[in-house]
Amino acid sequence: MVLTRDGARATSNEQLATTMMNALLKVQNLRTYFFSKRSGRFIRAVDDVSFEMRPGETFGLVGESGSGKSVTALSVMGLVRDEPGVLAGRVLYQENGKSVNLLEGLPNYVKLEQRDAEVTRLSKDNTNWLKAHDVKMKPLRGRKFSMIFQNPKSSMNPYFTIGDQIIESVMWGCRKKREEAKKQAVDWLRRVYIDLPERRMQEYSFNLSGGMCQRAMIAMALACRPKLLIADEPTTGLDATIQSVIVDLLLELKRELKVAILLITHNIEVIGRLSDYIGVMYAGRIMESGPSDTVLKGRRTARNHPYTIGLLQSLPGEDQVKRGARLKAIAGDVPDVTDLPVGCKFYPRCALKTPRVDKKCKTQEPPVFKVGKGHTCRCWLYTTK
Amino acid sequence: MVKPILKIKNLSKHFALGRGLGGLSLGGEKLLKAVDGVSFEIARGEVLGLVGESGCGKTTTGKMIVRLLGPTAGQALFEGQDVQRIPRRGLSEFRGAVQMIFQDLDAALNPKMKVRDILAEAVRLGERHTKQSLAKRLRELFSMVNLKPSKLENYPTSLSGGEKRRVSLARVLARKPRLIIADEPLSALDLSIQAQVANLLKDLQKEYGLSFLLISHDLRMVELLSHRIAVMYLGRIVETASAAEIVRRPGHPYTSALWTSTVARKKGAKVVGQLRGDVFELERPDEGCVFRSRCAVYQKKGKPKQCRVGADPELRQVRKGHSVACHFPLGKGK
Amino acid sequence: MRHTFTQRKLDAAAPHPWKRLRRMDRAFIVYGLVVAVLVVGCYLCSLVGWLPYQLDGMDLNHMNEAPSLGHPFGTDNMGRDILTRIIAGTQAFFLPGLLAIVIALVGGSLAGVLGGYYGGFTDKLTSYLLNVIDSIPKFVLLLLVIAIFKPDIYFIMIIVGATNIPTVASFIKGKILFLKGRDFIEAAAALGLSDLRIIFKHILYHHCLPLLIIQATLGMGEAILIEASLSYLGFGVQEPMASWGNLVAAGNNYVLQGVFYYAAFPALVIMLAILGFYLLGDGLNNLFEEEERG
Ligand SMILES: Nc1ncnc2c1ncn2[C@@H]1O[C@H](COP(=O)(O)OP(=O)(O)O)[C@@H](O)[C@H]1O
Ligand SMILES: Nc1ncnc2c1ncn2[C@@H]1O[C@H](COP(=O)(O)OP(=O)(O)O)[C@@H](O)[C@H]1O
Ligand code: SF4
Ligand SMILES: [Mg+2]
Ligand SMILES: [Mg+2]
Repeated sequence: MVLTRDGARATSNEQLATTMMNALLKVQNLRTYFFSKRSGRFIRAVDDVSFEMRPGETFGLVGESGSGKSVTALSVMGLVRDEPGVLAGRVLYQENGKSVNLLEGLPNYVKLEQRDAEVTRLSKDNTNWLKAHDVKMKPLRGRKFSMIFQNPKSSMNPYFTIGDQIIESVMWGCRKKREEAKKQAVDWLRRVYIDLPERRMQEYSFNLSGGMCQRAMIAMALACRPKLLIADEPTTGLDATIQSVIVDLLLELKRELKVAILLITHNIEVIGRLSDYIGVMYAGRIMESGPSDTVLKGRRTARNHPYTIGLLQSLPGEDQVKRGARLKAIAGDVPDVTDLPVGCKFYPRCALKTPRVDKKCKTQEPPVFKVGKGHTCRCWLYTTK
Repeated sequence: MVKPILKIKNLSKHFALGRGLGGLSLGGEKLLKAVDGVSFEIARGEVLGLVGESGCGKTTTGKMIVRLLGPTAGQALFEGQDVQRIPRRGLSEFRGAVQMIFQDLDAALNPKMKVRDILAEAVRLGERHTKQSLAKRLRELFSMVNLKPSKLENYPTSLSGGEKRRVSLARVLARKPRLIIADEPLSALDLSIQAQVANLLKDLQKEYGLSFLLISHDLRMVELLSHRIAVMYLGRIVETASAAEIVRRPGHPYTSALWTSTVARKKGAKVVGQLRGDVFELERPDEGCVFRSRCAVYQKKGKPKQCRVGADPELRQVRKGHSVACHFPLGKGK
Repeated sequence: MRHTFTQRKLDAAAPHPWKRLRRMDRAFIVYGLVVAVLVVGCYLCSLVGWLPYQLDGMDLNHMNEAPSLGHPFGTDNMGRDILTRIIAGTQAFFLPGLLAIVIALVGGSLAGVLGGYYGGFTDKLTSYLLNVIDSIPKFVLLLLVIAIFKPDIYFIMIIVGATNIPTVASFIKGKILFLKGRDFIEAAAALGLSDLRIIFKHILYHHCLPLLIIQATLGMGEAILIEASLSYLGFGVQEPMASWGNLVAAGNNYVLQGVFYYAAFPALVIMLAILGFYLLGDGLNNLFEEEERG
């Protein structure tokens, strides 16, 4: 059975069962919008996003700020609270051979009115949806799914000690008694290379450095051996040196615990070192997704997306070391999510569109094309015809 | 020998870490040596990159150069004159000649003023203008930073990050500076925009022969944009060399670790010479080399005595134009 | 609860902050503005003498008369028209109130700038002084002043203004510290702008003006409140000058005789006026916040 990574196409239930065979999490056609009161327009934060994760595998979501990475993660966790929020799609989670759609029943709460594939009007009963959804998600959060955030300092409670917070999460996550949880917490702090763990347990987050806080967060998130760890910009804002310490730690823990990691970052180096598969996000879409070495080739011949290619070429990489060289920047500005172009969302900045495809790019959004083994691209250049 | 445009001599800034109680500081204050005896020079038309982890004192150094902070000790000489000693009369000329770009994208942009007014305010500080000539000057500034003139009528809140950075650059250029202190000019920008702005900085520098102190924690960007690089660690310069030299033959173990941790991109790649811990979780030693607790060489050499006692190592020349503050500089015999 | 969202056309202009305001806030602002205009109007009218009746025109044939077409709010125990006295009553607090506002705003801005902008020793000194002011209960201070000096409304309002300095100062200082934290002030200084220009144009004008306006409206509300309460107690404006507090106090004597409107109308006016200024301040606050957002 060949696995297709664009689960979007799977339609019948039968097909679903087979494609789910060894997947842990499968996100299909996820769509999450917000509404900008100011401009009176939808913020299309996540639009038609599909990806798949297998146990123990790391899927890296890379993209510039505002491309919808965090919202994707929060949607999976059921933590999008603002209206209208999650509108469509499926989040399939499989454990012990049983697969459930975590977004089941969503269509009952949402009504969409569309014109030319663009939503013009929608209504949603968000309060009741969240209530229903929480019932399903609560037992999973902190037990099966856990999450770490950028800026660990602000995601830790400054009024409780680090120790209390880890113990708390262990007690909830592994259903442990306090004494046991405490022992486990100390073990975990040692495991993430925090010196003098007993002493550090007594400290407050504001007394720790950013790098140490992040390691404590990682300990807290992994202590109960979740199936899925969502790491949202775990190294952003930390210095390069500390960043690489955190990456090393995640690499080690991933190998040991066989936890699947949804890694979100805009840092290509971090993504490159950690991920098995990569999805490149732009304007709320996954433009390209595939095995990480394929995606990071960044070449037209490797059938990479023009955005990926531009991004990789704009970095001052190893081969760029020639002094005095200019960087190959992507032209244009980051997209405005309330006002996206009709066709390909990358069209205004794309340097690779050819006259052959130009018209199509401008007027039609490219679908997900399969361009290689487990490698997909949303680009008309790779139309299979 | 041409006279340098900026010469820093033993510049230090110590902050008092008062255990404040109701606004009153009780005795026994600890000192935070944010900048501790830093010396370097910038030649006319040269770009000096200043790199180091956050909190190592880069911004503080920059602020002392533009006279936003007074040093605890030492001097910053701009064109031969101590910036702290510039008399009131000369101050406005100095403020024009040395400009600073701030890390915060919004720092220079009053959200209640149109871009046009923000720039006009800066232009008028140094030049007299009629309505027409002012409009012309603003368009000229805008084209220098590759912005569409229509953006002049915008308020800063409606600009993207890249546009904001360009406007703050235009504001700085409006004063016709000779030296620009650029504090992390790229770090707040989106990935695809960083390259654009980096190119812009490079072009402007070349075209107008500007001198730059380019502050950043991104060694790779600095390497690309600077002629020379100074590496800073906990308030001290630990290495200076030409940009090409510093990445090809780093002398200080810290520089080496900084570089390797920046460029590793391969899947599962392990970083060699990994630094242990981070700056703040380890006690800053009173004696010996401040870097030793994280130093791979120190560990490998079996904690030699030189590193443990005496003062912090001084910057010493290891090659022409390459100085390192380390007892065991890398690449200098085993 | 089902909510519906409709996407607007792309070229449609963004709605004015006023449009984005809650309906309640809009009503508050409109009501507050009406009150403000009425108060100012009454003050000006009474200043030039445009009054329905003569202010002290006693009419012994019409004492304690119920509201009628001729006297919409009735007459008092000396047959004076109550509406006339209410209109003229604005004189009792308007100018003194303005004085209090000016003192609070100017003093507060000065103290805020000294504390926030210059910092260091000046900061310690100003915050010490402000704490001293803040720690004295306002009413005790007022009564003390009245006891020592004569009960003069201007004197009282100077005290009211002074006691409001700490509030304004802390707002301004907070704003400055926020701006400082974002390198905003340093960026202006590094450009070469003078301190005065930074303080007046960039800080006070561009960032604190909304705040000062709100404080001014609240200040007027408070001036009315203080004047009315002190006059009611007999410490404020003295008869025969018209004042809202006096009217209520005088009217109180007749409530038991069933002449409720004598006290009720002035009291109602006091309440509606104070409410108006407070709601205006609140509404403006939300409006400015909405503006800030977009
Ligand atoms: N709660 C929210 N309300 C409104 N807009 C939001 C909200 N959260 C995110 N957005 C918008 O959605 C888009 C995607 O955001 P996000 O997923 O956070 O991007 P990133 O890729 O940087 O993580 C952005 O334009 C952001 O402004
Ligand atoms: N005004 C100040 N008062 C006290 N400490 C300060 C002040 N400004 C900076 N510091 C401290 O000085 C050190 C150096 O800061 P900074 O120059 O901003 O570092 P960098 O720019 O390299 O990140 C930091 O530890 C910082 O906390
Ligand atoms: S679809 Fe067209 S515009 Fe979009 S990335 Fe591909 S070539 Fe470029
Ligand atoms: Mg994010
Ligand atoms: Mg800094």
